[in-house]
Order: sequence, then structure tokens, then C-alpha cells
Amino acid sequence: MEETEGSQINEYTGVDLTSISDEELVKICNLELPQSTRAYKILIRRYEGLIYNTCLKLLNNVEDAEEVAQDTFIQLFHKLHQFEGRSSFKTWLYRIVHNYCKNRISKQIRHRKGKDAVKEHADHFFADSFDDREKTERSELVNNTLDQLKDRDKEIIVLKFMSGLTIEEIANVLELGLSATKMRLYRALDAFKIAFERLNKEQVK
Amino acid sequence: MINDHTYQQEEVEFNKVFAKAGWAEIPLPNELRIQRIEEKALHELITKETIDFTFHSFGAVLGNFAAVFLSSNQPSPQDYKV
Repeated sequence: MEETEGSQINEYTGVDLTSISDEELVKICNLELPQSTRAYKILIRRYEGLIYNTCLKLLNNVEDAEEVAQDTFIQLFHKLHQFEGRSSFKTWLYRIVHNYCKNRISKQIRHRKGKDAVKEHADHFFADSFDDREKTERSELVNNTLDQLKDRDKEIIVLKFMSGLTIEEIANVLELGLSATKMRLYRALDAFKIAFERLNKEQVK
Repeated sequence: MINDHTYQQEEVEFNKVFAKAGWAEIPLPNELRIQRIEEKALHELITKETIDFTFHSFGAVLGNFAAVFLSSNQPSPQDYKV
């Protein structure tokens, strides 16, 4: 068995695991878990950053975002054998994220968690990582705009434009019909536009 | 109001807005978080299997005790011989 730099060669089939599809990787995970977590870790690495960022946008709290992202991947570990391939793996994964985020938001409402922590974190992250003042300001404006929206509007915008899901995939995640999903997205974007333009004007002043 | 006809053009504009906010950049995975996920998942699996094994064994032991107890209480014909 060879291990080339930056890739993992599957000792059974000689396949480079980092280059195969999610669905094929799931099959290998089901064969290898729990004895080997190698394929599972490759699967997590593909989505970890994106899932964490999605949770952060939806939950507005760093601690909650880390916990929910962690819970999602642990749920994946225990339930991967239940993935039947009826939808794409990405859709299935985001359905888990959606359910965990929904529960956490209910909990947040009960405990009234603040948004200041993620604001500080976001500013710090962008200022240090990108050193781009314009991007930081724009990011703050977008975050403030999202905060003005209803949770379900914010969620559909994040799923579409951050997580990169198609409308069909979003319909699957949210368990809505295609028309209902489109309507929800269009209304969310209308609300975003209005709030964005208002906040942009206030910022300019 | 956005509708099916206007959506495609609007989507392009929204993508630009979000791209300027850094949304288009693919975030790197955090290796420390991944490590914690793996450890916690394996820990949960071990805990679950230990509990399952303990209850299964406990149940089997209880069952055997019950069988011994019930069979020892059965009167045998010898008891009534005069």
C-alpha cells in the first residue's frame, strides 16, 4: 500500500479516496467503520468548514455553531449506514444540519443568547485572515442584514448562497415542494434587498 | 418583487453581494475540530456498546438465576415417599 503526499490510497482497491464522489466514499466508510476512520475523516474534511460557517450564520453564536457542527458529524458517524442514496449525500447532510440548527434556535430563544460573540469573532477572523477592510465592512453589512430577517428567510439564503445548494436540493432539505421553496426564496431575497439597502444607506451616512 | 422571470438576473447580483462579503471563498477544514469529532464519535460508540453488553450480560445472568430458582422449588416425587 502506497501513500502519496496529499492523498490516501485505499488499501483494498487502490483508489485515491480524496478524488472519489461523496456517495462512493460513504460506501467505503460503511465498510471500514468503526475499525478505520480514514474515509470518514476525508468525508468530514470536505464539509467541515462549510457546515461550520453555515451554522455560524444561522445561529449567531460561535459555541453553538461548533457544537451543532460537531453533533452533525457525530450523527453522521452513527447513521451513515442509513444513507440509501435516494437524495445526494450533500442534501442528506444538510437535512441533519437543518434539524439540529432548528432545535438549537428554539433553545436560544428560550435562553436568549446574544449575537455579540459572533460579531467579535467574525470581525477578528476577517480582519486577521484577509486583512481587507472593505471585505470586513461588507461582511458586517451582510450579517447585520441577515439579522433583520426571519430565521427561515435567513436559513434559505444561507443554504442557497453560502452552502451552494440548488433550489431542488433546498426543497429536499426543508421537505417542501419545489414551488413553495422558490416562493420562500424569492420572498427572503426581497426582504434581504430592502433591509440591505436601508442598512447600506445608514452606513454611508 | 422577485419572480421566476427576474430571478436569474437577481441571482447574479446577489452572488456578487455575497462574494464581496467572502461567502464565495471555500473555508478550510479545521483539523482540531475534526480531531475532536472523531474522538467523541468513537467514545460514544464504545460507551453505547459497553452499556449494551452490560445489560445483555446482566439480563442473561438474571435469567439463569430465575431458572435455577424456579427449578429448585419444584416438588419432586421423592418428597412424598413414605
